[in-house]
Amino acid sequence: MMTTTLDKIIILLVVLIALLVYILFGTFVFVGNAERVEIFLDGEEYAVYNLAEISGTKVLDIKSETGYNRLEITNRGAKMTEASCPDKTDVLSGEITKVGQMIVCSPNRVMVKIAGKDDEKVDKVTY
Amino acid sequence: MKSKKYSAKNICIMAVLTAVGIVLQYVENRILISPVPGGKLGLANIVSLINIFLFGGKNAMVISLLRAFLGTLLSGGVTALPYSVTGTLFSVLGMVLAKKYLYPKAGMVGLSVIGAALYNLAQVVVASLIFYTGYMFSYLPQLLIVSVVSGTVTGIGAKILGDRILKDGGFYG
Repeated sequence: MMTTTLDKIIILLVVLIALLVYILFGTFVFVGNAERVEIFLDGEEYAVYNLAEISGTKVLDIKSETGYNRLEITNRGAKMTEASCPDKTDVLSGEITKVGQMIVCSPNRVMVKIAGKDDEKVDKVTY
Repeated sequence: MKSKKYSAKNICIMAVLTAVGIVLQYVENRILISPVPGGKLGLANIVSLINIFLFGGKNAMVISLLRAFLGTLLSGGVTALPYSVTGTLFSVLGMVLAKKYLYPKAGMVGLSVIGAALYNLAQVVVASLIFYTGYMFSYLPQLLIVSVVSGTVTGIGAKILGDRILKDGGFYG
């Protein structure tokens, strides 16, 4: 026997917690339409773009102390196309288009987030 | 355990297991690409689990932290250190406590899943502190699902290995 009854209960509990957090975020945080792309560097706001005002593809080079990230923004959303970090987690994240979705580049401390309407308020609550 | 805790033989085994952990972590980092940011299989967790049973919580903690530190420097770089060291700290702590209070009702798989879930929870907390945003917790559901899968896989690995090492004599046979 590989698993005991308690093992299965533990697995079920972890899945339930995952589901609960997912539902909480879906209900209270990820609401409304995508309006802005917010870019943070070192925990501070670096740039904000209004999705509706962007025509075509805007290419943004974000330079940080440790390297660079190239972000492409369209009126649909944003995606990281190049990065200097070794793991490329951010590039593999693909395009983000929905409120609350993020691209994170941990080595360069770059975070890109899609934001909707009353996001400031929600941000404070979740923090 | 039959022999003395800090005999030359045990110290050798601890050193070898540290090295095995580093290699497992390094190889995994090289060949597996995570579908989720921060997610991983955590093969080195097999070694951590075995250590808890062989040498007790404190020794397992020291070995695991050393392994996480050196293994991350080798493969992930300095920026990944806060995540892996904090994750390992809470993961091993959770598994030690789970072994103390839940074992043998919970088996290797249960302990391993607890360890994996705590590892990922710690990662999300560290990321929240580094990026100053609670939004990082939106990664938690997918990371917890990854921990269930990876925890089960490494738990089965630890069970197979543990049965041989702990029951059939193994190092001490």
